[in-house]
Amino acid sequence: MSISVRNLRKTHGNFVALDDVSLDAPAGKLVALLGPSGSGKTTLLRQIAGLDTPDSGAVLLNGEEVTSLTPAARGVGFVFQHYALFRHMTVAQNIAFGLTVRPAHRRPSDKEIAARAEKLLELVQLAGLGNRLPAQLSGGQRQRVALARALAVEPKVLLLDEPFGALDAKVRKELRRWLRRFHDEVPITTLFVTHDREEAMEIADEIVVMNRGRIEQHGTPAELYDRPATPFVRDFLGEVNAIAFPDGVRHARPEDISLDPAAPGAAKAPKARIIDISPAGALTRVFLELGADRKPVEALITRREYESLNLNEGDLVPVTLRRELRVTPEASPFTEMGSGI
Amino acid sequence: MSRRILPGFGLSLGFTTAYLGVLVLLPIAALLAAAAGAGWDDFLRATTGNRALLAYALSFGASALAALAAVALGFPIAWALARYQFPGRRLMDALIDLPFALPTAVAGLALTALYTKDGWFGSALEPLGVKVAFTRLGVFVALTFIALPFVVRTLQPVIEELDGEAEEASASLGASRLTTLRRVVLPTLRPALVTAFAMAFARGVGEYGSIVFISGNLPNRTEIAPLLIVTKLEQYDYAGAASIGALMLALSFIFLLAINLLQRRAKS
Repeated sequence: MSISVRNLRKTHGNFVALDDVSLDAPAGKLVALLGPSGSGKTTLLRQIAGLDTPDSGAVLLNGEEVTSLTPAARGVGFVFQHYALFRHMTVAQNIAFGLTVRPAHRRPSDKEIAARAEKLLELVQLAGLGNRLPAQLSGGQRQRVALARALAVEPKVLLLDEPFGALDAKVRKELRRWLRRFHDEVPITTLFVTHDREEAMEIADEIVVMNRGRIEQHGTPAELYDRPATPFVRDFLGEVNAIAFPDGVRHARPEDISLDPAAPGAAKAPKARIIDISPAGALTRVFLELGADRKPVEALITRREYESLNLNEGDLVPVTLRRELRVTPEASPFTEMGSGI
Repeated sequence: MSRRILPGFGLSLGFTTAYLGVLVLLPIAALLAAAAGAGWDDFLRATTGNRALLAYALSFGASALAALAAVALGFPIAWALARYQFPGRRLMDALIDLPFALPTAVAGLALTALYTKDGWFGSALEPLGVKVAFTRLGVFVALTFIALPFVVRTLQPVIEELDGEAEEASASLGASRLTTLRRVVLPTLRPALVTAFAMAFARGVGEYGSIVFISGNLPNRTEIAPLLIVTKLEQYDYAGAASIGALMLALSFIFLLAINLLQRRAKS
């Protein structure tokens, strides 16, 4: 089931949280809302869930307008950053909650409810923990309970607000891979908020980049990384170098910078001094300073290249671009509906 | 015993024991001694007469009902103060404490003036056949007034700490507002609600000043147990007064203990 948002506007006093936002998330996709804090991504998610009312604009689920419906009537599953589990209920009771609050004629029997909760516990790999209280679980387990609870009512769409934000780095990584696999098995349209670009790039089918209450760009991770539509997306999606060539400033990701004197155009290329080399890991990071104003440049080269070039701190090396990163407003097919440009 | 980061276990335990001993247990012991001095027959006569039994029933019954009413009224007040920003909120917040500071006799006089048949409320209720002043209903009204700030001040900080997201989660799972209140908010607040009830109840049982004016003190009808004690004292029947006092003490202790046990069971 698709999620659409039309010309959504939301203000808090003088602060414009959402400024004419329009967005289409196609059915069955895992879409990330990515942006710095205060960019409006959580606000947008809350409008879609019905937890907040927009000043103007419309929210559509599967083409049907739901803007004036209560959260209960929209059929969306919402997962909060801090889990928001009912702490006086057991894990199984938490998961079954959405079924037990249904009016009598739509409520499954107690037996069915228990079976459903048990099945969901298995789905989120917490079988056997149904009788625990939320306080007896780890953060990662609690978040999976929250997800199971949201899934129990068979929502049309799933909205996740920084679902891994409160977890430590290791659990975070495990859980996001798990979410990706989970979504492959249960392909429910999912919108998830994050400020972590790696997280978005790793698991999302599509990324919507938000900044100051507006959508900057909407596209696949590769599109956003290689063909950013705005300077903001270019800078937010990855590290980027701005290098002054005689014919103007050009941009490139660190891995697209070559320090090889034999590279094409190296003879006429500007020269930079190596100030630091960090050779740990599969890739070697080289920090340089370019020109009289000592502008910092960062290059990421393979270990083999690093060894063959015999680079040392203090060396003066030519800087060439394997590939230039250009801001191309027309690059993304989503741009038109994404930001109305 | 393991070492603690903050020292002072011995000091604080000693202080606590001394405090309880001198300020709480000693007077209670004196009361019990005075009651014991009366002898068993006098004790029974003083504590089990019809007039005395009716007075206990009124004291404990009206206190329990008033505590329930105060919880019912105080909960929305505490909720509004904790959850919403509105003009006059700070003023209202300060006004809540007023019954704490007001001499209870003043509260009793004010309530009596309001509810007699010439008073603002009394004159409006009279045609409906509702009499408050000099009836048991008046006792209930005065006790509710006295208990309300205890309830609000007990619940308010707990509501402020409440996780609003749990309510949003409940709503997004399809629960109506009433269901969210009943199944998510109230169970989380239950320990605080029980504590609020216990405090309001305990305060009501001990209340004297505000009741003596509005109740009219009719023996067997609107006479509360503390008043009975004062009446005995005025008749120089110290042993009788101490007997009733000792019984009140025992009953109060049993009730509060029961509430505490209930609380512990609710938590586990």
